[in-house]
Amino acid sequence: MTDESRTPERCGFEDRVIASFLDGEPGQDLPEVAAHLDRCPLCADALRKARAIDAVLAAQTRTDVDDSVADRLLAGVDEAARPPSVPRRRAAALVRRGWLAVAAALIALTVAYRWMSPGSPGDPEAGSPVAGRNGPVGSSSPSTSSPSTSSRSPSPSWEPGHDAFPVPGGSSVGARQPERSDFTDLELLARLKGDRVPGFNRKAVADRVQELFESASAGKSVDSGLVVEATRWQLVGVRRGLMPSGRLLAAGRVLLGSRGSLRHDLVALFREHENLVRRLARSRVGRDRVDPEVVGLVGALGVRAVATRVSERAGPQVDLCAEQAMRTGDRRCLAFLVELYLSAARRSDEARRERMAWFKDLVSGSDATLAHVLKDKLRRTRSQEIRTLCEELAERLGLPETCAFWFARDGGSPPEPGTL
Amino acid sequence: MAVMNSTLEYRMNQTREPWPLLEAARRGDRQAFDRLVRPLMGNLLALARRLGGPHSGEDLLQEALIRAHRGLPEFRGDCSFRSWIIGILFRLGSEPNRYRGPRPLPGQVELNGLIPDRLEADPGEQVTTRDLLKRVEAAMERLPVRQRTALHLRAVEGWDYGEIAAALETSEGATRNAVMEARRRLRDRLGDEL
Repeated sequence: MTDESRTPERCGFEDRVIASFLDGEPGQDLPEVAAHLDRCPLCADALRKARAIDAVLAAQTRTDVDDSVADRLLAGVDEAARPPSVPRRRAAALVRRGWLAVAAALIALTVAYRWMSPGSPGDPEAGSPVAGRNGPVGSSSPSTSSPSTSSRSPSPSWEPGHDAFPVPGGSSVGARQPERSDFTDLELLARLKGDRVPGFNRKAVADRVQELFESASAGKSVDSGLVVEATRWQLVGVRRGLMPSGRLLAAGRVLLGSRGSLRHDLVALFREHENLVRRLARSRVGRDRVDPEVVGLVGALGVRAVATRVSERAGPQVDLCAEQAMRTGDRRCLAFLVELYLSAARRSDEARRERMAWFKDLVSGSDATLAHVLKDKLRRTRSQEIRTLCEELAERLGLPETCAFWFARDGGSPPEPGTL
Repeated sequence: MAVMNSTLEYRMNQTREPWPLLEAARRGDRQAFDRLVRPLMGNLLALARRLGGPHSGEDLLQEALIRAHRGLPEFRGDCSFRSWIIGILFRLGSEPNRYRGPRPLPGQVELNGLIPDRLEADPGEQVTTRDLLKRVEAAMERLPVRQRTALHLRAVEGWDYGEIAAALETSEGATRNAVMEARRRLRDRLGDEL
């Protein structure tokens, strides 16, 4: 045993010494370790401290439990073991709240119905009140709260561009739907938020969440608040490795079909877990396989890290990706589109010319944001080629202030017209 | 099926718990479950308080007991019953999102530690010891859950590394490293106070 690793603060053999003496595992080299301990004050001090810690822990945490405490703890087992038909306090409160919310929603709808169409109670077309929802139980949006509007379309489908999901047949979203599961949407919401609902295990929740996403994608009635919570739950589950990342595709489909505040919420959620989408893109956007939903998701979120991969491998699906990026339409998505363009433009002159027209059509009307994006790109890049391409893009898009910014920054003079 | 049952019986015989009790508890006998769990209650509560804090230690343990009772029919006897139930407690404690125990209300003061269990002859020494205990507890709370649990089971319960590894579902080597690292961190944090 040498003392080469010894420093004034740490010897380097403390762990071995402690393992030999404190854990009672001397091993073959006990005499050697003992000899080291004799001449090393650092190890002796470490051993003394480790012994003191163990002694303090053992003395502090010796817990004697009297029978009353044990009885109380075990009573919880009995309570949990009762059949689910016996409502526990929490479940009862939940159900009570649920019924109250449903009752309140029905009263509000009745009042609204009578107020908005005074002469139509006897009209058969106005006989099925519909609750348009975009939030908690009981809220309604003007676009779908008119009974006559929705009753004219017997099987309304959810259209992208509408925040609210129309509810066919006048069913209330918060109401119990026994054909889908034994649990109400309110119970699902409570479970997704981390509350305990007896008998509602993770697998049942996962199945319900999958059903919810499929219903939303198919245009059936779902609560957008529930969709957001379910997406959050699934993202966290995938991040923790509790479920495969492919499960995200269902939530992704809902995102791709959404607009307005629901899309905004879902995009924000997915961006919090962007690494999962990157991982998905790396596995599902390859040379021999391109998953259009993943490509669309990448565009909707504006995941710049995989822009080159998408540009090189997605082929015609790039259009879908770009369309989704423009639907989200924020600065990050525009930056993603710039990356898509640059990636194509760097490949060949022909691709550059082709993509230039494509890009110009795509982003028309987003000048101010695009100018910021290009400025930012110019500020960050060190590649002369990218600078030239950005400059050309800015000029073709009619964003002279971007060029001015760059030339002013570099102390150069604007180029001669037509040289770009 | 007969072969499977005999294998299970063999495994359970290797554990410290009597086979008939375990078998009865697996069939849903509540009294048998009680008799299995009660002797472990002190150890379980100590670890639960270590993982969940003094406020929610009991709630954490109760949740673990409920899950153990529910999952007992699936207990395969790969490890001892106490390792198995400690494993449940550890998993609950290491994933706060799985379990959210009640938090103290605003203004509610935690009395544990403020009121001494018994009066010592030398109040000065008592204060010093209590102060040290508090510091050790605070340093323990800052350890990662796996290291905290491993050190607790080693230093307080005196378990061997193999059994700790079985409870934490990890290797023996990883358990040794966890205990070693926990001790090193505590030494560094407590410094000359020891």
